[in-house]
Amino acid sequence: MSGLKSARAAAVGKEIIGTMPLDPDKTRLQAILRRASDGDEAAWREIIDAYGGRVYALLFSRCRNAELAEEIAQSTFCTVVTKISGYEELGKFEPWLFRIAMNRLRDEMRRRGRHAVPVAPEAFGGVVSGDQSRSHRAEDKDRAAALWGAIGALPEADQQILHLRHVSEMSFKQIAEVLEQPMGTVLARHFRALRRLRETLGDEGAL
Amino acid sequence: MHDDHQDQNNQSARHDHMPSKAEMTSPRRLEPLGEGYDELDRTLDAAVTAEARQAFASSSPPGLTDRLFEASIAALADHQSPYRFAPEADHQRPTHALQRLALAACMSFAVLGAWWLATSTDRMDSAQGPMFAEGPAVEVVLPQGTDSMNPEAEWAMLASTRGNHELDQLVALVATRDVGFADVTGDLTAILDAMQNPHLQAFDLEWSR
Repeated sequence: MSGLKSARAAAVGKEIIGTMPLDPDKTRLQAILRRASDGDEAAWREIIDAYGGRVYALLFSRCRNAELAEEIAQSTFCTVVTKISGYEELGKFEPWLFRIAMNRLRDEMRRRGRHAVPVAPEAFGGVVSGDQSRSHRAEDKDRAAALWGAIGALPEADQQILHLRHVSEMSFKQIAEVLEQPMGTVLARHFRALRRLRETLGDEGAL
Repeated sequence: MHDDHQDQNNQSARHDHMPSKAEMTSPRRLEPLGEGYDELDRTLDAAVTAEARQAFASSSPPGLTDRLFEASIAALADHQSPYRFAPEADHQRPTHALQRLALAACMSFAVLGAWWLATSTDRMDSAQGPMFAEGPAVEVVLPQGTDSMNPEAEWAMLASTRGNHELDQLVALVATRDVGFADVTGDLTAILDAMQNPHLQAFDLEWSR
């Protein structure tokens, strides 16, 4: 039964990719990367402005340690800048960048003898806009806590996919490239992860 | 003048393709889910995205991008070209003469090593050889016309007498006193004749004395 669902999810994913419009930012990104590979500091600054926050957010979502997340983000960009000379953008810059970041984080976690930690429920709820009532804020906080608690209970591989999709906002194709897994595997895991979340939260709790 | 104008056009055309900072940092449109997902899946997916944006979009500490830029900009200058060696650093590279000298030294060591191995092998062979010197073969010349047995026959007789106790003493005589079997058998025959012939008392006397 689950195999049938996986196959259906994979088919759905292929349909999505097939109908995705071409991203107009790709040519822009190519131009910026070309300038950066020629040593243009302004171009490199633009790359960091564009990706620094996203890389940091992904790392922070995985390790919950601001200092470690920034340290690994720095290490990631230092690695990228040393290899950017002669880099030819073929639409894989983002997966490459995020894969470096994920690998660095994994190595560091392994070195420290730790595992990626799900985000603590109490970390959420404080960013709700101030015009909401106190009860709404408490309700949002509880909902966020329940949601991230349920995500934290998922298998590690499923968590990675959800973080890459919702925190880094990557496409399924890019996620597959970051994790170096077949596209069908990623889609099937994402499908299963959503269904498990629904089971954990209850269909009403998620809404 | 024409070139300047063309350069300006090229430059403006190039900047037309550059993304603005706002474009690069604007919220991205999340890839929509396909038809295999039901409405609750989509709602949950959107809820997770919204929560993640709330939780992490503003999670970056102040000055993060500045620090990332400062940490990496030096490496950008260092790695912008694969041929970034300064001309004054060329003299630090080994020259062709030095390389040839090093090659000659290596070859000399190799030849010396091979020679040493070859000579040490010879020495080992001589050390492991027989402990006695092999002299030139000596040909034994026997006097012609005698009825002595040839050396091969003597050695055959010696070998055949082993284990025969009556002949052990005879074998010892043959082996140690340079007496041939022919001599021994001749003397023995003479003694037997003298003992059996009463006319040969002299021999008997001589023998008993």
